[in-house]
Amino acid sequence: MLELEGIALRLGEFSLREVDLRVEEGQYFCLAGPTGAGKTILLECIAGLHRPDRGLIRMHGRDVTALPPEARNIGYVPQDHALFPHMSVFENIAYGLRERGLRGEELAQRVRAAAETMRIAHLLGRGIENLSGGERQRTAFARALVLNCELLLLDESLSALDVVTRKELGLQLADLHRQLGLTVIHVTHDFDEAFNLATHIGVCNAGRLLQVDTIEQAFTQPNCRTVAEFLGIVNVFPRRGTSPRSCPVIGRLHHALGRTPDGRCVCIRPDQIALSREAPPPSALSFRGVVRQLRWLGPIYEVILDIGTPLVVTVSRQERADLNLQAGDAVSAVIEPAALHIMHDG
Amino acid sequence: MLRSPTLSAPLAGSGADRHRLAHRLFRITAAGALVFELSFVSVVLIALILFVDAGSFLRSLTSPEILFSIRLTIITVTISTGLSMLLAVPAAYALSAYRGRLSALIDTLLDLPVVVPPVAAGLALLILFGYYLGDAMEARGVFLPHTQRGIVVAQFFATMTYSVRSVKAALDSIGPRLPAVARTLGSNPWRAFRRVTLPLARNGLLAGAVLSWSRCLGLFGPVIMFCGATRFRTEILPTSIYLHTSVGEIEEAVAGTLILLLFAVVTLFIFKRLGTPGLMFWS
Repeated sequence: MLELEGIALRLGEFSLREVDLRVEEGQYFCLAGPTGAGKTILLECIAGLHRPDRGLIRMHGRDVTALPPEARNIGYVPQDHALFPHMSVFENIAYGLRERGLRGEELAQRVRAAAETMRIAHLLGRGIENLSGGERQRTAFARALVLNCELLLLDESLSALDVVTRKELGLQLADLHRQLGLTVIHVTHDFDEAFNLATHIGVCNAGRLLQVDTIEQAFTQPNCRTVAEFLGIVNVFPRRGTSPRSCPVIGRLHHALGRTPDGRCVCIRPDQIALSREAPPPSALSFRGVVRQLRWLGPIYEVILDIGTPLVVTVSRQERADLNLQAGDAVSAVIEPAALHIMHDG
Repeated sequence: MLRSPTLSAPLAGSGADRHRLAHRLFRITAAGALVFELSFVSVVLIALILFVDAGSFLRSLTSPEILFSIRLTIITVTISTGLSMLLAVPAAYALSAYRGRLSALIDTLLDLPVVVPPVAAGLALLILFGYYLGDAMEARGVFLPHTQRGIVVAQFFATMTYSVRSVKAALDSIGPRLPAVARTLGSNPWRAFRRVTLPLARNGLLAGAVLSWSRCLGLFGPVIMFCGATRFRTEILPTSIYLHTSVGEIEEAVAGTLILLLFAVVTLFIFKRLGTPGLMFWS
C-alpha cells in the first residue's frame, strides 16, 4: 500500500538516512523509537509536509513523492492535535469535507456520523478551548476519519493523555482499525502502546530505520542492541571490549553459542530465564547468583540477580511465591540455549 | 569563626531591619519614577488643553485650512496604511516562513526605515524619486516630490516596517502547524492561509493596521523633506502645526495638535482593546 524507497532528508542538524519501508494495506504499523529518532519527520514526509532530498514514496504503486499534502488523501493527526481554535468541534470535523465541496445536509450527516463514532456527538456545538485532552484527541481523530482516507498517520497521538483515557482511546483505535480496515502508521516512543495496538513495528534511531518486523518477531529477535533496549530487553551482553576471562558469564554465554563474531552481542529476554533453588544439572547453561532486588510490576516481578554481572529475570507472582524469593537469596538461573539471541552491537 | 547565638541574635535583628529598609526604598524608587512619568505626561497635556478657550478652538477647528489638513491627513494616512498592510501580509508571511542564511540581513534591512532619522529618510526619498527617477516618472505623468501622492509614499516608507513586524508577530504566534494540518485536510496553500492563518491572525492584523495608522498620522520629517510644506497642497496636520507655529498662529497650531491627540488617544484605545500591547515593543 505504502512504499518508501531510499528516503533521505536533511533538516538542519538532523538527517533521515536512506529509509526503506513497506506497509501493507490494512496493517497497523507502529513507527517506534526514542525521542529525536526521526519518526515524526518520516511521518511528515509521508504526509507531504516535507519533500525528501532523495528517494521515492509510492502509494498503491503510484509515485506521490512530489505531490502536495492536499493531493495525497492521507489523514494526519499530529501530537498536539492541531485543532483550529477559531472553529467549533463541528467546523473542525467539517473542514476537510468543505474543502472537498460538500455542503448542507450531506456534510452535516457525515460530520455527525464521525462524531458519533468517536463518541463526541454531544460536543459538536462547543468551542475547542472548552474541551478536555481526550475530547480534543477524539475531535482530531474524527476530523481525519471523516475523510475516508486511504492511510491514517498518528503522531504520538495518545502520549499526552492520562492513562485511563489513553487505554480507552487505544482500544477504540484498535476497534476502528479492525472495523474500517484502515491502514495506520502510528508514531510512538512507548513500546507498550506499540505492543497493544500494532501488528507490525519499525524501530528508528538517529534517522535510520533499524528493524521492520512483526511485533512478535521484533520482540523475540531484535536485530541490534538499540532495538533490544528500546523493546525493554535489558540483558544485552557485549562481545567487544569484554574478555571472557574478565567476565566468565559472558565467556560462557559466547561459548554456548560457539564463536560470536566481533561487533555482535548476545541478548536474553528476561521471561526466558528460569529460576531455581536447586543446583542445575551440569549440562545446563546456568549461573548461580544472589537476588539483589525484587520489583513488583503488577502481574509480574522483576528480579535483578547478581551473577558476576546483573541479570534481569521476570517471574510470575505464583513462581515468586513457590520459590519464596527474597532479596539476598542465592538461586540458580537456567537459560535455554534457544533463548540466546545474537545481534549487532549497535 | 563561629558566633554564639546570643551575639548573633541582635545582629540578625538589625539585618532584618536593613532588608526591610532596602525593600521599602526599592518600592519607593520604582513607584516614584512611575508617578513622575505619569505626572509629566498629564501636565504637558493639561497645559495644551488649558492654553485654548473653547470659542477660539472651535473657530480654528472650522477654518478652511485646518479642515483641509484634517481631510488630507485622513485620506493619505488611510491609503498608506492600506498599502502598507496589503504588502505587509505576504511579506510577513515570507519572513515568518523563511529561515535561512540571509534572515539576519533581511531583518536588518527591514528595520532600517525605523532607525533612519526621519529627515534623512525624506531626503533619501527626494533623491530617489526626484534626482534619479524624477524625469522618467514625470514623463509618465507620475511625479512624486512635493505632491499629495508623495505624502503617501513617505508615510508608506516610514510605516511599512511597523506593519510587517506586527503582522509577523501575529503569524509567528500561530506557527506552521495549523496551516500544515489544513493542507493535509485538502486545502491548497492559499485556502489554508485564508481559512486558518488569516482568521487566527485577525486581531494582530487589525492591531498592525491601527499602529501603522497612528504612526502615519504624526509623521512629519520625511513628509516635509519629500513633499514640502505648501498651504492647501501638501498640508497634512503635522505640517499645518509647523506652518501655523512658524507664523505665530498658535491657536490654530494648538487646534491641530489637539486633533492629532484625539486621533492618537482613539487609536491607542482601539489598539489596547485588540489585546496585543506586546506588538508595540517588538524585540
